[in-house]
Amino acid sequence: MARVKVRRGVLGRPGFYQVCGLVLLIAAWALIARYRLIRPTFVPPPDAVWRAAIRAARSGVLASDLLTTLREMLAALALAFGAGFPLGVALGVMRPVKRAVEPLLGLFLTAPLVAFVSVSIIWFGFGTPSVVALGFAAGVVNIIVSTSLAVETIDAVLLRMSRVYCRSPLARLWKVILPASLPTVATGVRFAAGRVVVGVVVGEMFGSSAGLGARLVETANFFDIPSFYVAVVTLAISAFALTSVVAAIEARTRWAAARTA
Amino acid sequence: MPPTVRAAPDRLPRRGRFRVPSQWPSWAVVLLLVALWKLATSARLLDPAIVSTPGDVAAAALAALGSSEIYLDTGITFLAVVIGLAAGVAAGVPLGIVMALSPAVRWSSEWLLLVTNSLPRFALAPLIIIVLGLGVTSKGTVAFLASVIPITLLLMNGVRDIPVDIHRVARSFRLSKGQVLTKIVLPASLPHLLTGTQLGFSRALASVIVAEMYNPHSGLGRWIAIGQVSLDASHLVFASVLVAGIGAAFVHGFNTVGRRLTPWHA
Repeated sequence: MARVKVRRGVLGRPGFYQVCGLVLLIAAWALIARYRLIRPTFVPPPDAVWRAAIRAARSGVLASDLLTTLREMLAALALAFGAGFPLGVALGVMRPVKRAVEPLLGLFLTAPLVAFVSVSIIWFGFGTPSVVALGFAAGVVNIIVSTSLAVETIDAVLLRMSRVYCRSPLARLWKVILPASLPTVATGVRFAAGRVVVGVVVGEMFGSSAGLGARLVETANFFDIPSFYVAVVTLAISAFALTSVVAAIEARTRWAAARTA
Repeated sequence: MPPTVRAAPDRLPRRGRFRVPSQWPSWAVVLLLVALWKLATSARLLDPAIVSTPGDVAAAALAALGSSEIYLDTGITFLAVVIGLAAGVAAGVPLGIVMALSPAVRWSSEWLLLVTNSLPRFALAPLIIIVLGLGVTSKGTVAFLASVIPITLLLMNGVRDIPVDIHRVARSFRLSKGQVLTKIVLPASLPHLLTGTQLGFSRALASVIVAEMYNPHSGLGRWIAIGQVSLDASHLVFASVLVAGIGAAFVHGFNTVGRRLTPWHA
């Protein structure tokens, strides 16, 4: 285990195994569907799913659902950041207020916010507003907590230096506190993106008629399982893409912070 | 001249005086919010038919907590989550270890787990409920799917993070592969297993609640569905707050128990 055998050529590259894994997955799926090893309802043959995907793409349903879901996710994340970041900075700076609110924040962090989907529908109306509201609620607490943590854990030496060199508290905030807290804030945004995805999917499943989540429920109710899988795979890929983009941005902030250090 | 250090004054314990609990500021904030809520509905700034008033919600709460239904449903949800989580640990630990120790397995399957990890697994709940029906089997499956992936990924990362020097020590003691597994890999991966289980628990709980909301039959999700169709907004608000609160209590309790049971946190 300490000595990993390094193989030459294509066998040593991860990409080969990733492709192999994908091929094996599709092959196993085709075999299971062909010989009905698992219930056919669960596992439709891959070509049925492929045909359903082509159908959905041609009719434009897939594109519109994907756009709706992506728009809702981005809007919820942007709103969560726009509201959560200032609040987090304020809480990080004003410690007594944070101490007062901290148990409440911890409660919201661990509570399954999926419970509020019905409340969201009634308050914000069926459709996109309630979905974005739920995604916002799911992500904003994460951003508040991580931003306040980031502001609190800034290097004390840096803070003392900033008191010497900066002429006003505003200058301190802008030139020192915000850039120094950026990496931790970016990590918090990454976690919040995951929670926003969960909130948006739940919101669409129960409170919308458009979007990939709504498509999941609709295709399941109509027993159109191949289309269900099309929606699931599209949703998985778009959620993964969103979190990957946010993670890439987060990695960039670490490089930026390291350069200015 | 060396700076003089002032000793901190000793704090005598306050005997015989009412000690204000240290969390009173957050309770004060909650009370303030509830008071604002009451004022807003009385002044018709918020529509009480939609937002409901604190009094109605409290009445609904008392009515529900008096009967035994809510406790039964809480138990049902908790049971489904625990069953799914146990299955997730049973499957995730061997899978994570194998993935960590074998690059071929890791490279061929990690991409799939990462993509599936971004997808909330309760998205599969409609299909699972259609095929497996209502009841513990489908809920347990959703909980299993929700928890197995974080556990596997965290465990895999944990085993991969074991320092190479420890492997070298194992080699110098000529431990067999099985001994390395039991004496080194498993104990070193316990903290990561705990973290993964905590994460898996909260995800499994959310997934089970969503599955119950999708097809309300039993469990906490049923209460939200009932609240949604009742004409009284107070039932809905109460049910949502209750489910969220119970969920938070479960997760908090699970994390606390986990921390207590693990010696390295002491």
